[in-house]
Amino acid sequence: MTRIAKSSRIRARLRGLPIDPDIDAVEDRRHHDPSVSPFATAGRRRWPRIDWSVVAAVIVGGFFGGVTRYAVELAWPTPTGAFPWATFSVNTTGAFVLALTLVLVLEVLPPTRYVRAIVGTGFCGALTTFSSVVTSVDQLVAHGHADVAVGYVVASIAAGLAAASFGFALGRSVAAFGTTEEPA
Amino acid sequence: MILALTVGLAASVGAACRYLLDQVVQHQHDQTFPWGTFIINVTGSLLLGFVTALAEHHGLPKTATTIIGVGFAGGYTTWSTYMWESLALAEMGAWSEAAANIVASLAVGFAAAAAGFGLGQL
Repeated sequence: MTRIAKSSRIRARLRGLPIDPDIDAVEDRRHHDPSVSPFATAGRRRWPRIDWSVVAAVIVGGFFGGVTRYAVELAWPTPTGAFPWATFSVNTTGAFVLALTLVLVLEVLPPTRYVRAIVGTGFCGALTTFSSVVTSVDQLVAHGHADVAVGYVVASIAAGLAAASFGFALGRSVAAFGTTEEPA
Repeated sequence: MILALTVGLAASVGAACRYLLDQVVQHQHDQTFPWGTFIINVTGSLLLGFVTALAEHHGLPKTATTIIGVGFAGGYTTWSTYMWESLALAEMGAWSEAAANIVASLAVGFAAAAAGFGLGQL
């Protein structure tokens, strides 16, 4: 794999699917051409081209993600000063599902425009929450439960990274299984 | 039931705002650091801290608190992308960016939530 192809794959991971592969290929050449200063902005597209059908897909996934988190929080309320198990669970589950989805979308499945938007950006993004974690931690510390707060942060990060790694690994093993089945 | 659907709608608006803001922010720089998600999580934490204080000190109705806090702020901010981007940075060898993303998001997030809470108490 060439350096450009590899970095373009990494860029795609961090930036989103190349919705329009031609445009992204042009952008990548501009970024990695050593004769062009990385600080040259002349002629660079500074605003993304928004595909509103992708936004609609994010909205659909976001609705179900939000409703699911709300239902879990209702069914599993957190008493004052206690470890927020409901938020911890949805965040860890979402980290796993997102990593699995992204590996499948970026490395296994044929190019698709909406799976990432619905399942990843929409559903997993809305299912999980960052604001609730930091606000709960602030509140726990303010009310004298610093031990619970520290445990909550450390457990959320550790479990989130472990769950995402597991999602990565599972997706990759599916990919490996797929390639051994089909002769190259 | 109506409240659950409204929370879902607010979350979907939050998710759309996150997607659009992330697209715009990520087009403004060439660094490997995921500034889009960072800014989203910090601003969402500020909002949730603010709404929480309004509910505790100024009697913001529980319905409004739930729709804005659980729905919008929850749908807008994301833990899954935060974890995934940190892992993706580590996987491409950008260990310092990965660690900085984890630590700085939390540190600035705590400060933003506290600032929002302080603003809402005024």
